[in-house]
Amino acid sequence: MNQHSVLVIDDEESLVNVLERKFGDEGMTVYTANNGREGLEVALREHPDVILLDIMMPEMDGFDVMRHLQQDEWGRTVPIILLTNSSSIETVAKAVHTGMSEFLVKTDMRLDDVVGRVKQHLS
Amino acid sequence: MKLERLLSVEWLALYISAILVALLWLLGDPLATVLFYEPGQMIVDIALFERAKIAILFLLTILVPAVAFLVATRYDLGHRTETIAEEMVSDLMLSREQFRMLYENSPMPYFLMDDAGNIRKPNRAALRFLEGTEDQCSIANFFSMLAEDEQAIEAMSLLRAKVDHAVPVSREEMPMRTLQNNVRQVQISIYSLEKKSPIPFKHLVTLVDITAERESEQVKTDFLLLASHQLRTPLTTIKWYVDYLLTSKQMNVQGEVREYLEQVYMGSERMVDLITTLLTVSRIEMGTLAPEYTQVSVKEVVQDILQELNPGMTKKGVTPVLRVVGDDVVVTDRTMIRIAIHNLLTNAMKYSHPDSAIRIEANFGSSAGTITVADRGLGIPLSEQDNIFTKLFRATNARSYSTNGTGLGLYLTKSFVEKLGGTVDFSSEENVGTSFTITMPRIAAEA
Repeated sequence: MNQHSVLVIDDEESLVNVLERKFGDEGMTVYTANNGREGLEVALREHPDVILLDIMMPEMDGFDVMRHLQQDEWGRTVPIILLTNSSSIETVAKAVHTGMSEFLVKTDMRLDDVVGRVKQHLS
Repeated sequence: MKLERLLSVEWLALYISAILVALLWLLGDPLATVLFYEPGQMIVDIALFERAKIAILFLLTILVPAVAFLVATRYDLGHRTETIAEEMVSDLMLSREQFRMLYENSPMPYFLMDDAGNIRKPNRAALRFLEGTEDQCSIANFFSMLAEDEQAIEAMSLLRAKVDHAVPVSREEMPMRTLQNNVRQVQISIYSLEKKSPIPFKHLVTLVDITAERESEQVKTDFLLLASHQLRTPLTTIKWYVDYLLTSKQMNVQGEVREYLEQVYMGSERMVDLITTLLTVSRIEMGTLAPEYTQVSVKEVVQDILQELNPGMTKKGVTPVLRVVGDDVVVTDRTMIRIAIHNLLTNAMKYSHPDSAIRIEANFGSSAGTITVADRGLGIPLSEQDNIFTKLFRATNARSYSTNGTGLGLYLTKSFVEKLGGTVDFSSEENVGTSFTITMPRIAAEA
């Protein structure tokens, strides 16, 4: 069976855990990382179908991860959904310039909404 | 002053002519004799002689002062004109010197500029600001000091276009680099003489250094961003875990546990709304919330909000009726106007009588428009209407009707509308309904 895979990169472990369970229930392979550097390594190694990426993280923030991914041939094509609680206009503007596919504010989303958006990028 | 008037040329002329006239009258007889008779000739008709003498003396009495006065006036006028001219030149020289000192010593940086951006006559404040000497400034180009980034390049092009067409520039903000290569955030104002003026350096440039203010705003913004992120993160954890428990088939949560979890979920959603609202209010009060102007279709904004509120309205049997008159596209901040209207519509929905209608009417003219949201419902008690836009205020009947509500919605609506150059008014009658009207310019003044 051709399973889809998703990579969740977020420094908030509790959120990573619940997303891992949710996507697992949907039959997807879930990769996780707790900081940008680790996330970038996993992404380039495992080539997930979709990346859920937080912005404010230690060591390497979400924008830096995106910039590095843009330098990779595969990285330029993978759908990246920014999943963050930073909703300022400046953040959105910066996100647009770094080439993200979608921008979601965590507190505004239900888990099913997050799954729904990921599935849209897989179809 | 009276002494000066008494000693003025005209009055002197009158005094002298009075003396002359008196002398004429004293010397009347011999004068008349000389005029009418040859030396040695006898006066034949004395009555005629007397009448002729009186006639001539009266004539001279009128003529002499009149002529003297006219001559004196002409002299004085000429003298006064000369004096006035001298005084004007002296005043002009004094004004010029005063102006030069004011220009030189003004705490505001000023300098002159030609169409190409070359700088002349920077005052002391400008030299300090530009961090150079007069010689260095004379070979510097103002436009080259601007354009730090892509956004600034675009703004600089617009500035150049205004300068080229002698259009006044008022407080345009952009980064600029001084002659010592330091970047400052400045407000630029330029006043230009008319385009056809032969004077090469016809643009007066003034700068206000707002670097410290912008840095302070950035610190506040960064704090708010961090606070926003740090407050929202644990709430997301609560929401998503409860959401997972409620939706996961494996968890199979039922009965009372399910009920309680649903309450936890709703409570966390209210907390999120409250945090978002409080952070928005903080940004307004800190002055860090700046509008971003774009073309906005008010009709589309209202329709979008109605779609969002549709489930709640349907549940209550409330029907929205939308009417738009005129061109509804305005230049404003989309987020702010959306929040402003969203709050009005949320309130209308919340406090409407069941199975009633909410009337939304947008009317646009050439320069301004109104957006009215009217409901049939709870209304606002007359005694509390003065406080309706106050932060955290909720009318007593609203609090009894529903415990949900932050008391910040109308405060935000008013704050945003005023930031966009508009006003908010309302009329209300308890147990009948309320109508709010936003009046706003078609193009915000600061756009």
